[in-house]
Amino acid sequence: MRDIVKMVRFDFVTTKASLLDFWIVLLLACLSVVLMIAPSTAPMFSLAMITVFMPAQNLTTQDAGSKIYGILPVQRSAITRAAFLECSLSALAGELGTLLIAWISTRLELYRLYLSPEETAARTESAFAMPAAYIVIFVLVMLLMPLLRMLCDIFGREHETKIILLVLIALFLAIWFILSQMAEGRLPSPSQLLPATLSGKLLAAAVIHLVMFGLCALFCEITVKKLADREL
Amino acid sequence: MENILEIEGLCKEYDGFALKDVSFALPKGYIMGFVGQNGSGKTTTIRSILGMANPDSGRITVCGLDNRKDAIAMKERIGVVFDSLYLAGHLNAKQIEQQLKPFYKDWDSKEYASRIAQFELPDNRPVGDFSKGMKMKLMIAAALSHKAELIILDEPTSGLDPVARDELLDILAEYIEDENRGVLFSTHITSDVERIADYITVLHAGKVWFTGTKDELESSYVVVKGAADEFPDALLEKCIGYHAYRNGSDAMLHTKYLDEVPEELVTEKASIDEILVYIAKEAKYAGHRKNGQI
Repeated sequence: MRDIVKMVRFDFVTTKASLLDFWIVLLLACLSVVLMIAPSTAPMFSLAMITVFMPAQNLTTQDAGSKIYGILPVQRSAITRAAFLECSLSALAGELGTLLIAWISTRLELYRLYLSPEETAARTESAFAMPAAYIVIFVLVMLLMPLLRMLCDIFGREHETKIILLVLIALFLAIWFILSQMAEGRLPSPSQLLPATLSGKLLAAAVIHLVMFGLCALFCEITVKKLADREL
Repeated sequence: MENILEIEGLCKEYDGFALKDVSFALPKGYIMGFVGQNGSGKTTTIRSILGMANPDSGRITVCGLDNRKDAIAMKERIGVVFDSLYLAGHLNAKQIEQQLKPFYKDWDSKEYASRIAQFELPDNRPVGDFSKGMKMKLMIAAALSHKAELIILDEPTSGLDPVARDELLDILAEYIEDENRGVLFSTHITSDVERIADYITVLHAGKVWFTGTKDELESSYVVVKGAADEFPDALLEKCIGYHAYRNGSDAMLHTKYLDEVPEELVTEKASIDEILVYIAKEAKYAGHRKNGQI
């Protein structure tokens, strides 16, 4: 585990040095929109968090290839597991950040500066009116990032663009299919699936998170196994 | 003498290239020049030492540690300098330290800072903007800061200007003053090897052609020159890289056959450069000679 933490730190230094300015602008942009327009826009923060770790290993290898991974005193599996842990951390941090920003937005209600009291109240109420939306965003991020990481690691970085395109097309088709089925009443909406009580909702959220972390761990171990005998 | 690096029976086959039974050892306190023409297998051997290539068979130990079973402990004791920087180019020297330090138990930040200052490397500039010589020095600073006992250099001097090459060789000479250390120095610039190496391993077409001390290699071979018809057939069989030109012919010969050289032929001590050239010629012209084309 210590090696994995070292690799996470290694990757964080890599991205921080390259993307710190970008993160600051992104954070300010997210905050501005969420605080000034509507708390219900907070899930965009989850998506913004993808940029924290997702490009890390690409930034490390773009100049020098993967030689560094052969030199560092660390197991190959720790490098891979760190990348997947980073996916989970980014998704979780994105989700927690989303909830925090949304909550701050409802407390400050800065949009009251240009809205009527009724409209202000409506926007504040809308912040957590669709708790399923937050979970859906988390599920998407938690599914996409480890899946892309696994496919790119197994099939090679040279196919990265093709893989991303194919996965995104598949994802959009899946979303379109699910939404159309929901519209026709053949599938229940996420809000309908969530239990009515708060404790039920929390339990469902916890189970969904565990399932997604489990899926991430599964993708991770498949990748570790596939890369075990591959040369650097 | 205790060996810092031992390679026994290393075999690795790729499409169109194979390392065949590569074996050599580097004793502590010495620098080994690892020479051979491009594609002879030097980098594959180094990649095998570092576990970046998976050998088909053979055994590699560094400081007595198996490179597979004890990979992490072994890598803590190795410093590596490649021909190009292996670190992210957008980071500066301070950020490089932040990245590397957690991986090495013996990392010494004071040593790193002093080496960066000694090598006159700016610590606030992206290392990707460094000159090639500066990148080499940075990799050496990193190696020295985690107290590496073995430094492996893969073609570090190719593309370096003479001043930077000279500086690099001086740094290695200073490093090896500690008798518990060792340097494996892969290069095809043989003047660097002649200047600094104690031992030499010559690799040719994936096989070890020679391994031993530099003095032994230099005293073992001579270049024989003369008219083509002055080379007796019996001697030709023993010559390496024999080739006839319009105005004469030459070949390399092991010194144990010096008694068989006719007086008409001239002999000169072979340099390492010449040794490499004649090995290559042997591979190129041996077939022609058998077919009577030379």
